[in-house]
Amino acid sequence: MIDERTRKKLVLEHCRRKNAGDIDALLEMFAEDVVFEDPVGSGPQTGRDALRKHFTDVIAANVREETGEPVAGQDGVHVLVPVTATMEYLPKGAEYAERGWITAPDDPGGKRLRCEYVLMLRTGRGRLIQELKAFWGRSDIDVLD
Amino acid sequence: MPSEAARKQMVVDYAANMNAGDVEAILAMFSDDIVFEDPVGAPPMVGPEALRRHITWSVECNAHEIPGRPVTSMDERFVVVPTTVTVRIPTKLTFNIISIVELDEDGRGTHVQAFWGLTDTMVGDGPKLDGIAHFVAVTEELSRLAATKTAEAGAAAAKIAQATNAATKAAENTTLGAETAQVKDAESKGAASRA
Repeated sequence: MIDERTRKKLVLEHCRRKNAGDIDALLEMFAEDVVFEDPVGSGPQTGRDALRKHFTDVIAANVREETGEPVAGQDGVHVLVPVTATMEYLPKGAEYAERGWITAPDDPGGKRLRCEYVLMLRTGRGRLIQELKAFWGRSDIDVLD
Repeated sequence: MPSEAARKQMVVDYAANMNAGDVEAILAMFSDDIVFEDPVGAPPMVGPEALRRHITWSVECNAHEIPGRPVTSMDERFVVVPTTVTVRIPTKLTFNIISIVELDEDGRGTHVQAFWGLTDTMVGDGPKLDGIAHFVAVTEELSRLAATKTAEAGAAAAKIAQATNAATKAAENTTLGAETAQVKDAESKGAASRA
């Protein structure tokens, strides 16, 4: 059990480290056997190595996340926050277009992605993140000029 | 399966129905095997009758909901929405909530998880409390709110609220002159007892 304020600090720190592009510091926040799904419905993946690949791609795209008000569960483990993320189109845009989530632009050069999502973390032993879920659908992501 | 637009509309409609106090309209939005967790961490309410009691009580507490921007998922099942909820009986409480709603093939809610903590609850319109003071105020008010969930306690709480309103109005109507006279009276009595 982790108190509410500590969980809220943890989720904001997670976004801060992502914005800073510090992938090792970011991964330190996760359990070795973390389960993550981004977006929910794409199929869960397991383990820090898979998560490293995922974060490497978004950090390569210079992701910037702006967070709203975090909310804590009374179950002692969950914390959620609304996030607006913007990043360069590549490399994630190509993958998203291939999966049919966005329409690929004629020329991806200079294009950006903006995604509105709700981030949910489940915490566990050692204040590590055991589970990450990012809720967003086709209507929550746009290609920006 | 409900489209993303339909899923997002569902949570907007839920708030509108709650604000209109339309219990039947809300119940029609959920399946017969509904599991409703509000807040997550408390025992879930299962089935339409448990949900009816909860929604009826929310309406009696004058629950008012302002939904934020909903988001969805890629599996045609979820909608997630941040919402600000205010209740006014017995005391004004404001909750910052993020709800995860899972829908069935017909677009009816089958599982609701309303996440909100003690640190997401504000009491009244007063100055924002922090730390222990906030914790004590919130737990006291939440226990009063929970007490309204039984009919008898609800009636008692309504009487207290009425009495409090009457007392507040009476206090507002008291003229400054009368207060000054009372203060002077008390001062002279104090002086007399000291003498």
